[in-house]
Amino acid sequence: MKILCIQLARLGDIYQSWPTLNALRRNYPSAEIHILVRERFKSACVGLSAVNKIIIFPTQDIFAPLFMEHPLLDTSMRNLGLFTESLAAESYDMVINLSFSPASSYFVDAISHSKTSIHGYTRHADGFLRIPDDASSYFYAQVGVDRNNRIHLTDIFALVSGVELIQEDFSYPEYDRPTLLQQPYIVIHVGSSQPEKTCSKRSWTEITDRILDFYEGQIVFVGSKSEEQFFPTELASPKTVNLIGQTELPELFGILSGARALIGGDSVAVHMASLTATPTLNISFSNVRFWETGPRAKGSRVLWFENDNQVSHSRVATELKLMLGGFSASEFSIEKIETDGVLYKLNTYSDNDFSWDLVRALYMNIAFPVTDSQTIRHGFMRLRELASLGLEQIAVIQDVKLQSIAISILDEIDSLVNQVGQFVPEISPVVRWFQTEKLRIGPYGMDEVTAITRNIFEKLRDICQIYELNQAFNDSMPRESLTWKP
Amino acid sequence: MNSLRAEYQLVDAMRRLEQAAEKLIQTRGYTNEAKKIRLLTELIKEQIKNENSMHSTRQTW
Repeated sequence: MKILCIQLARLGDIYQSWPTLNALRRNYPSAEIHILVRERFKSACVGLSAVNKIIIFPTQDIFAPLFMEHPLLDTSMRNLGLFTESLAAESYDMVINLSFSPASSYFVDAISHSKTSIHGYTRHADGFLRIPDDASSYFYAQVGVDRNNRIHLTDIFALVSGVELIQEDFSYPEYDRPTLLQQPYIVIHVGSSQPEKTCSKRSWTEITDRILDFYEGQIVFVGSKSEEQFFPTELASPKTVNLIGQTELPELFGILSGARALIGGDSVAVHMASLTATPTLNISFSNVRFWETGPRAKGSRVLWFENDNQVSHSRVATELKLMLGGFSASEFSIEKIETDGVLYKLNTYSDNDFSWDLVRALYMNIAFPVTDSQTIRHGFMRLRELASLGLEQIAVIQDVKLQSIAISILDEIDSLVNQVGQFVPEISPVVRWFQTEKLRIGPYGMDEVTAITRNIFEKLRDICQIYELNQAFNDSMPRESLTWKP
Repeated sequence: MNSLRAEYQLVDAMRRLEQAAEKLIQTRGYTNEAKKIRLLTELIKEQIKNENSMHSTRQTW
């Protein structure tokens, strides 16, 4: 069996794919497993023993002709064609697309055959997006910074790939620790793929200053060469070790595996620490969704702040002190635990539980959450009205005389459903579920398209009626019956 | 490499490809050639996002 896993995102995404690749190896011990990554991020594959072959996406060959004095579009196309044909010739039995991008969907379509089992985004025969598996449709609908998903990306990758993860899948290659590191030590990873996802130099300096007040061991700073300016030079002491720009990425495994703890933003080191089981204090900001990309090692915690300006440096230092001392998490932190696939316990941090419970009801067979909110109920009422109107149009859509107007009305309904989701964001998971299910309809015959669309509108109507019935029930219930009588 | 010039070149390439894909799909449907054109178009869009430093958040779509 030959399997291709496509991971064209960044370093952190590649490391978050490692457990899935290990699980694939475990499930298919004799399979040939390939991974496709970008040249710039190939270092995140070093030590990945589960794969037989690392394929590098030829970014340079494809883009260099476009940047010439007279851009050579034909040359780019030819080089791209050669690459896709070479992968098509591999005749993969299974292609797993963990990139979730438009480009990767066309790529999968270009290299797959009729018998290839595809997981993740691809294309229909007419070129429209095709989402063949339910896990990927979940990703499309519910995953992202501005959404309500609480399933970690590492677990979503496994779901898309059709494997279940076990603890042993979170493994890493052995690397020696630099000899100048003496235990005990903690690691601070100063960088991130984007500056907005990590602390500024000022914050790292303030945090380090407070840690130096109580921590007797070494504080090891790591990061890439471009992050050298983040080292708090004014705090340099025998206790601070500056390894920023001095290590190759895989060497971090050796450094992290011996550390008491890691402190970092949303960064590659956090994902490597999930593999080395290094307790991590993750400083997370509003432009990141810690549910999806936070730390997984036992004993890890998240401290959430709106942005770098809001970071409480003393709170970071205090939480680290609690972690190192084996004490319970403070009320300000978010703890890594595991409950029904959701990794974090919020303590005093608040998130939109209603919307998450809606997601669980839609995808995980949990009961739909109750609400006292009139706004939410009215939102569902509007959706139910639109669903009913949609079903009326579907009932007549095969009548030639009425087809044109029915289609126009259905297009308007799409627009109005979208607006309801914007006006009542708490119910947007339902709106996105509806939109994604309709998007998944392929270029089938009229009868099949009509039947599937009807089914989706009926489900939407049924979901909304749960809230309408509750409203009617609550409205009809005499008030005195709701009052406790001793 | 001047970033602004690079972005301009990419945008120009993207527009030409989109026109070519549109024409091809209208006349011959979603062929292998159309697939590759669409693929290159999307790769260029991703690259444009990288060239444009205003995009600070990763977008899933």
